[in-house]
Amino acid sequence: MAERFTPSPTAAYQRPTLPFRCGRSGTWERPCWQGPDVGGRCGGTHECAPVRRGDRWECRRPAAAGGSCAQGPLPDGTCPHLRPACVPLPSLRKLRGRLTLLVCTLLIALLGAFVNFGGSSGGALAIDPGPLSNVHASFTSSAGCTSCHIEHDLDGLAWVASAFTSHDQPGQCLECHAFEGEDRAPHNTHYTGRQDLPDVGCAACHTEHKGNDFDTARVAQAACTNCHRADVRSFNESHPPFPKHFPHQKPGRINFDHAKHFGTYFDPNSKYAKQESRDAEFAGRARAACTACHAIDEAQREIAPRSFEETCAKCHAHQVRQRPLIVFVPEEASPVTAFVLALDEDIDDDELEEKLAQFLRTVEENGVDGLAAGVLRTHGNARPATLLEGLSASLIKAAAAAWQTEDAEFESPETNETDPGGWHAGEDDEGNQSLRYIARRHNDPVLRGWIAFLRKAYSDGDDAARERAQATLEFLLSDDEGAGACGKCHRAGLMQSRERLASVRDWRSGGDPIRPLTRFVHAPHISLLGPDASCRACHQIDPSADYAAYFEDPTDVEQYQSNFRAIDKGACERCHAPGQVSMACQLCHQYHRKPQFNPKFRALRQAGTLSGDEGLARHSGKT
Amino acid sequence: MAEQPTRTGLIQRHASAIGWGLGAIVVLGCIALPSRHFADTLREPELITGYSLFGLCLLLAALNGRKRLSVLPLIKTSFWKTMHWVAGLVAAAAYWLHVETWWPTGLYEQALAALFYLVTLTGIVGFTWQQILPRRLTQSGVEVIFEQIPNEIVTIREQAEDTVLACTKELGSDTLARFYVETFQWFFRRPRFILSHARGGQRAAFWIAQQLATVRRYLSEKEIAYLEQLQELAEAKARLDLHYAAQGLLKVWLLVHVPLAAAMLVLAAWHMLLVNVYSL
Repeated sequence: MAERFTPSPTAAYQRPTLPFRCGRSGTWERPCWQGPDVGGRCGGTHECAPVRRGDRWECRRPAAAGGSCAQGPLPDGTCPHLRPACVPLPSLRKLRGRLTLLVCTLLIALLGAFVNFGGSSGGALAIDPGPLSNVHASFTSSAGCTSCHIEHDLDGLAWVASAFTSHDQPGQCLECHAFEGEDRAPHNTHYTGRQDLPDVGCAACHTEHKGNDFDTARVAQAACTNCHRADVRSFNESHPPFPKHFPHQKPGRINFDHAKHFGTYFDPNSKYAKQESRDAEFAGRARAACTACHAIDEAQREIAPRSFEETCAKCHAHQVRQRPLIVFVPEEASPVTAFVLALDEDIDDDELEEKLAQFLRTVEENGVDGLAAGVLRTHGNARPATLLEGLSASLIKAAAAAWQTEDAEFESPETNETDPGGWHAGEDDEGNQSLRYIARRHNDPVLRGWIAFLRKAYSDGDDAARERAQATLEFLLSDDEGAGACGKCHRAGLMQSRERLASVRDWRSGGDPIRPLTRFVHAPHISLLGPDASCRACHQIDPSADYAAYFEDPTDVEQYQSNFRAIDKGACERCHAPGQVSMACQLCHQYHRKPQFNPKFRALRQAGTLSGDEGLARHSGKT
Repeated sequence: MAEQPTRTGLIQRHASAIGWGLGAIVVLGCIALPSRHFADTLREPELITGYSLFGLCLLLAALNGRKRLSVLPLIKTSFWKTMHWVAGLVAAAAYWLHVETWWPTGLYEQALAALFYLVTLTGIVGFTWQQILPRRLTQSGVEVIFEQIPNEIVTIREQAEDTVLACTKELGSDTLARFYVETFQWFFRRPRFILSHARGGQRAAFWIAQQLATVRRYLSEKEIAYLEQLQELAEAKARLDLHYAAQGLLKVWLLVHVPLAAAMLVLAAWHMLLVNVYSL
């Protein structure tokens, strides 16, 4: 057991908590018994502090320091034993406190020196958590932190106070970034079956201030498995099988039967090979290579077909001009006339006769304007100029006058043999009187105008108007009689989407977005396998599928059968396997739906008068 | 033959360590699991880890406050010290959960990281010294208050000088006096062989033995009696030097650890303020 070191009799009790120690101990001389006072002044200039008792001064030197001296205090009460004052030294504890204070003060001073409040740009070393990625650094070079953090614009106390209020930081990101769907919802999608899903902030997956070369778009695999708990260790081992019919679960907008075209129409031995309108050379090319119709040089996820003129027109161009749009038939309520004049289905003959006569009188008097006025009266939102484009006032006036006579016949003027398209009145090829329009080309503006007009009437009108619009649309888009043969290919796409406003997209190939979060880029696959062989490696025609059924009744999407076989996981596994091509989740799955820049932001950028950061600052409401 | 410790005996002997270990795991779990839940629900797990880490840092700093409030019955200081060590380890783990990188990119965050590493490192060094040095002090066989050491050195020096003077006066020989002036005066002047003592070395003992052996052959029997008194004083002085070195280390490391920890807390508070101003 350790023995306590016997302290010398002159030792003063030294507490570790005392702020100062005798300066003599610093030079390894004997420290005085009094020690310094708490203020750090020497307390040992005299050996003791005598005390007056009655009329005598008594020595107060303790026994440990030698006891009362023989000389005793001087008459004035002072100790006769003087010593030079020492310079007390701080104790370790005091030193520690001083060092702590010094370091903290220095640190706060440094923070104060390198922080910039009040919206000044750059140079805020005490705030900057790291360099921005290159892509963001270029936008923020002049506006600085304020570009994305409007709080940086605040002064002193307001800046501190803003720490206690919540900020919409994702909102700052959405000043520039935009997505299809709901910006803040998971996957930009409102999942009706998952009301419990909270909004997701950008910072949940994306980080910034990680250096110039940091890729902010790159997200760790773990970010996916945070929510998607399926135990997917690797694509080849545990990725779920692709869904049935993948990726052809939903129909496109264009009715094009690949099986029939490859199996029959392109076949040089089929009965169609003898048709004059058929371009045999093109049919041969198309049968041999998908690239005859599909522009693989622009391949992304979908490979859009080439233009009508480059493909379908090779065999079907004449059909566009074969089927006129019948607008008016004397003494009959043609579907278009019934719609324009808002005629009821059960209208009696007398009333019909009266209304048609009134209509013809108006048209005879006012020509095209009369017809347009009729349309406008019943359907104020139409654009008659498009619907009646190219219609001659004299022609319609003359025809209206003739159709009011007893024999109701109008002899049509000479037609231009080289261009039979446009408006015609009088007898058609079958000897029937009518006012009709013959499409001049595919994508004819007048026919498109009428279809758009009817779709709008369907989406905006009351029940009766919707019914009439529906019937007229069915007539215009019918496979057998539809004007311009539009309905032969476009009927399903246009009927399916008639509830919404007309859109250019409704005429185009492709379909409504299927699996918008699945990413596939055709180009590298095509370049690897070769332009022709690569298509059939994955896309194999299924001749047994009843492709036509859906297009006969496009209201029932469930009955759609693609005429391509489903692609199974094995097709991908041939290359996407361990040691071969990447199997990362984000190679095929993306989080956001159509990431893009905010149009307003882009507009400011495109104005040309603003640099990127100025535009951003203005967009944020800053000057 | 020594009896083998039973399993129950081992558990009882290490009950405290096991308790603290389990406590650390529970605290870490209380940080990691909610943070994981935040990550799963695509919220910021840094909120959980960051505030927990700051709370742990405040808890670590509370030991200093506890020492200043020694008059209050705020649980035993030994408990606080153990808690300080355990909380320090948990804080290191929480730091990794929070930052997920060894070295951040921003200047002030780098400063914060550097301070955290330095505080952790000095903490580990201090903890190690606290495990080694008190044992060595106990083995020295004496106890002395650190602040008392200068006074004790003066006392020993005066006794050594008195011994030499008495020898000269009594025997009329100045051999021992000259030996003292040339060698031991340097030794008794102030603590010597600090580094050797700090490392647990024996340089002081060797040096004393060597000096004494050198002079012994020139001394008479009576002088040797004085030399042996001097030897005892030198050995007592060497033990004081050991205390000065070891106790000094146990105190001086705090001169680095505490200011750095305070600076880290200031910078951590600044970091928290910035995060709340700019991100939340």
